Amino acid sequence: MTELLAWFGSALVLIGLPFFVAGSLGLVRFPDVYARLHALTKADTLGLGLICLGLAVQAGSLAAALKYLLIWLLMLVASSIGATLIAATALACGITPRTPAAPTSERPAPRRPTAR
Amino acid sequence: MTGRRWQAWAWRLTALALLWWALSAGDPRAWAWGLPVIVVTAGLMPPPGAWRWRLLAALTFLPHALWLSLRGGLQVAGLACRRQLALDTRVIEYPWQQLPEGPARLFMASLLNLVPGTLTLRLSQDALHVHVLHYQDDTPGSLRRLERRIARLYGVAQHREASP
Amino acid sequence: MTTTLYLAAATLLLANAGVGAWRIWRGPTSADRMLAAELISTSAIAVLLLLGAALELPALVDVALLFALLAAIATANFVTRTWTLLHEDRSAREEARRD
Repeated sequence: MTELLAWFGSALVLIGLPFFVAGSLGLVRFPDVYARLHALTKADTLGLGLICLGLAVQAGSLAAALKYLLIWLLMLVASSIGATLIAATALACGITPRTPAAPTSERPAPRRPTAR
Repeated sequence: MTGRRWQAWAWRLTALALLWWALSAGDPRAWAWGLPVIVVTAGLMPPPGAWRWRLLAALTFLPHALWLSLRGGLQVAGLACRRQLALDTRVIEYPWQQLPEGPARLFMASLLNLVPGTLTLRLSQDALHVHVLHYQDDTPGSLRRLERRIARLYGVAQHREASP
Repeated sequence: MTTTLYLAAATLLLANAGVGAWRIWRGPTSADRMLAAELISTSAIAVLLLLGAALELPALVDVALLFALLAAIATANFVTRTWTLLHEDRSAREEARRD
């Protein structure tokens, strides 16, 4: 039983890794901040979730397993709320989302804050 | 009234005790520190508002949310790995239909970031501005279905489901 | 065997964090840099968890938990700072217009 769980856990960790790679690939390839936010929030959170789940399955005690899941939950909440915060901020700074149809820039883009 | 207050206290103490148990990895010695901290924290927490999840709805909602998150990750990973980036990116406005102002809307706005293909750009009084990475015909429909589910989760569903 | 596997996975994730460093260098906007920082912290959490499991150091899980808390705070800090700058910018512009 323990053997089986260990295999299962390792498999989950292995499945989680490609999502991290795909998230970074999206971060490099996607055209603008908003698309990159998509890649990061969805892929990386899922990758971390699978790794946490895989480690939790093999954890020595129930409390330790719960701790892994707690980290996942924390990142889930933080990244999903953080994504909207960053997107709204970028929008307020005048970065218009890039869409293939027409460049929708109705408002004159205010200049970027000089965040050093 | 007092019955509800006691219930809220019981919930808080249980949740905090569970949290402490996980944080201390089940070490029994940690309770000497933990118990006072738990009681003080429970006292400092704000009183429960009118907004709460319906237990039964939550039990069906959480697996659904996890499933959506899994699909979201798979979709964006697939898009990122495609050889040719052919994204039909759009910004759509989704008018609120069921959810009243409050935590339920914030919850939906945050959850949308994990759901396949959507990213909340801005919340406004009467609409949600959503960035859609790769538009599909079903996108508005899936948003509507998600809103209906969240309305049920918070117990604010109105019987307006006859409209398409 | 799992030890080797996890160490290899941790190395891969470290390389992954390197991509985030590239994005920080490249920009082009500060929001992009914040995003890359988030990628690095997520990768760091995964690396810490894997190392903790591989080397049997349970304390590393606590470090990862702290990282998760800090990641949330970092995002909030970026957002509030930028909005403050935006407001200051706007008020500065309005003041300039008044003259």
